[in-house]
Amino acid sequence: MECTMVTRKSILWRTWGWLDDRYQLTSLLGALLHVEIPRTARTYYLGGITLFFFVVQATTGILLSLYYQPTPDAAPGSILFIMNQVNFGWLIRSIHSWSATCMVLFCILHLLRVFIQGAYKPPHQMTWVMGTLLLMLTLAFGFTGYLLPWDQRAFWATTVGTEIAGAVPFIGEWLLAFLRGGADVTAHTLTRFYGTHMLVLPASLGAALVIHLVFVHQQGLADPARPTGGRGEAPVGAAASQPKRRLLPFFPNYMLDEFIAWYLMLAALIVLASIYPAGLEAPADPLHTPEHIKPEWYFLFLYQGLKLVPRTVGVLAPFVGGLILLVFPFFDRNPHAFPRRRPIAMLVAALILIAVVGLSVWGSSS
Amino acid sequence: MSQAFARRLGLMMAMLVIALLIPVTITAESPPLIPHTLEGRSACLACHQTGVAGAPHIPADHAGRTNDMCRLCHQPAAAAEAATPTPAAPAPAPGLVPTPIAHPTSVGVNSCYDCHNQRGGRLADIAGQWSRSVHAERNVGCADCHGGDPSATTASEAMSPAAGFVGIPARAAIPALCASCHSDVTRMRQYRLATDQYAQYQESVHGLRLAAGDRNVATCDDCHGGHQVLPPNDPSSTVFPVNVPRTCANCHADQALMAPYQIPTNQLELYRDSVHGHLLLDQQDFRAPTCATCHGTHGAAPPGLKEVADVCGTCHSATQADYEKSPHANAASGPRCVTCHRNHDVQQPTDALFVDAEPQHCGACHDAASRPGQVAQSLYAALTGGAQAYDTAEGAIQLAQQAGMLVSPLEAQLRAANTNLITARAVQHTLAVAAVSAQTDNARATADKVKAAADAQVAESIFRRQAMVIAVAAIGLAILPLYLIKRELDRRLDRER
Repeated sequence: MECTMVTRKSILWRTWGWLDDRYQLTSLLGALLHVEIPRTARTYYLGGITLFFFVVQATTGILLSLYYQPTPDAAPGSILFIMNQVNFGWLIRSIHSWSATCMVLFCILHLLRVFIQGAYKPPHQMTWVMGTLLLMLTLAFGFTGYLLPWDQRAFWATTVGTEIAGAVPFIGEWLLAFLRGGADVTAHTLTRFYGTHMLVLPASLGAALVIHLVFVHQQGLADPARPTGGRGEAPVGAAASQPKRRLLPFFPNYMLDEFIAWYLMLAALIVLASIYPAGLEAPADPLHTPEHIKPEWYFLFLYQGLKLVPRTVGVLAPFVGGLILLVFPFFDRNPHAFPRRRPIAMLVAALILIAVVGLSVWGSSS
Repeated sequence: MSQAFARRLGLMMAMLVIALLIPVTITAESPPLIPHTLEGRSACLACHQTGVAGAPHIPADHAGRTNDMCRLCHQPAAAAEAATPTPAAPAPAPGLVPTPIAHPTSVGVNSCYDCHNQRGGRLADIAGQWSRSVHAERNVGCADCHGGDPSATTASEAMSPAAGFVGIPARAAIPALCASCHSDVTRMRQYRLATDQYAQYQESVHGLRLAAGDRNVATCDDCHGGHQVLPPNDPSSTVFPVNVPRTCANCHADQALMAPYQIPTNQLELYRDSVHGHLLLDQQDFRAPTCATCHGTHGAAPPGLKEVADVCGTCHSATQADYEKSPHANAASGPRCVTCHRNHDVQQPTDALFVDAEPQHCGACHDAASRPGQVAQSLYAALTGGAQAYDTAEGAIQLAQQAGMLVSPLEAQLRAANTNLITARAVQHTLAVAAVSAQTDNARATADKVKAAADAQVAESIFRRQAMVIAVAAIGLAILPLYLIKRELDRRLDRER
């Protein structure tokens, strides 16, 4: 008598197999996940954390959009409704507010990390360009989102911010009218900013993010511990020149590290949202200017700088600075990646950082 | 000397001593004269029982005496030997405009100004003052007040009597001199200025005394300035609202000047510390009254009323209407506004006025056990209860705000309670406990609801922080297995590689 036992696979495996037969998912994921990361790259999590905050923003932003009403009459009331009436509305809005701050912060930290470790050097210049664009889009997110509550702080900070745009030589008047949808900050400005914040910027940032990640995936991460030689032309993919023991598989090892970091960030967001929930000032009153109008913290250095230099210089400086930030990898001829081998770059970066932080602190207390 | 002669001499000496002493004793024992007019001041106890505006208190041995008994002993000072009698007002001829000074005219030339300006010192100061005045802007020159020929080039010609030169006008002639233009309707129409100032002045205390020969009273230049006359709406003008108290005090704070009239001189000092004084002088709030608002301007009489004590209702009309419904308004010697709130030194009234027996307090007139005393207690209880509920609710809102909660809807609700309290404080002047309680009960109900909502917000904030701890702990629990798995994977990797 024969005994035959047929082992039946679980439903999950069978589903996976059904999809894999049709879409070759195993080979696709293999290409994506079976990548090696330099083991010493502890600061590499900063970019992933920024991505995490963007996902949080997208999720909480969609939830908020279910209740937010983008008109001057209804906007502050809808925010109050979200905060006081909607279940966990206060939590969603407060997380959205804090996550915006954290996203900008970690984007800047990620930029600093890449700069200090020379990871923008050839062949990674375009990755840097996309990253800088991502930072600019993130700041644009902050600027457009700041107006949406339509309270005194939002209205007047936007009035001052768009007024600065109006001071750009030659195109200032047009730029101001374009940003505001008219001569003043009105309902047209609110709808314009809302549409930009909800549609234009997410699509743009999403596209730039995909390109940025594709570049990172294709080239691999630059290893900060690996000294460069010759003309600094690193081989494509750090893994190519590393002994196996210095590398870490992306999946599951590195991804686990990322998830732990993301959980920690989520805990931080919950703590911040609970202890310091998002506030709301009095509804916007175009006839009553508050005594102190200040932008959000990441624009404070511009705000303070404008008080110290001639207006045209102050207005053009961020545009010129942004352009330099975008293209300087193409002009950096130093082949070395180690900070000690790049004293001028480190000095310039330190001075700029001190100036930006100093102006921001000064602006916050003035 | 015979005994009879000595007796007669002694009697004559005694009669002489007695005759000398009589005026002293009579003077020592006779009741004080009444130093003020009696018109509108028949309720003596209204001021003298509580010492309003510095009025002397009635002595203890006068307890129980009523208003109609005062005049049996006390006579007005004007009935006895008057220190400064106020003559009856001469009836001004209707439409009379004093004749302007006749003098040669000139266009574009003012040798008076040119010459005096060149001389420097006080003459140049005066010339400079005139040049900054509204008269200079309107081509009203030196000769219009002093006469003379402003086109002449020598002093003797410019200041000759033939040219109408009068020099410094006599003090008594100043009002008529100013009125020669300012009472002329035709001339003043272009400037949209009133023309009744002279007529009003003539009927005022200042005008009557001036007409009787008193040179110490105010004339036009004392208030408006002599040479640097500015429009009343010019902040540098002596009659700009903020400057009016100081202008009046130039005379009325001078003890030597006011002594003959027995007028106190501390009004400015009292006014400065009053609610009105703070509003006008510190905050430049022109809604606050100046001296002229209550005492009148040129007529030196309260506008439209018999006496100053009735003027409060001109601004505080709602409170006046409430007061007129109260027993106080209908009582023969009932308190007026000034009885409880004083006049020059009016302060922000507090609920403390309802308790104790201090001057201006209810207890100064009403015994606590009496019916009016009980009404005072009831009003006090209602008002303080409402205020306390409001303060408690406000404190609860602040706590909720500090906890990070949004409290603007609660603040809006509490404003309704504040409106009830404000209404209650106005209605209290009717002394109707039911009306006041209706307002304070509403205020208390609203405040209690707001407090409950604010407390709920604070409780919600505490709940959120507790839930935060649980959420963070849950995340920690989720991280732990991930970390353990990661550590195991790293070890396996190390072994493999």
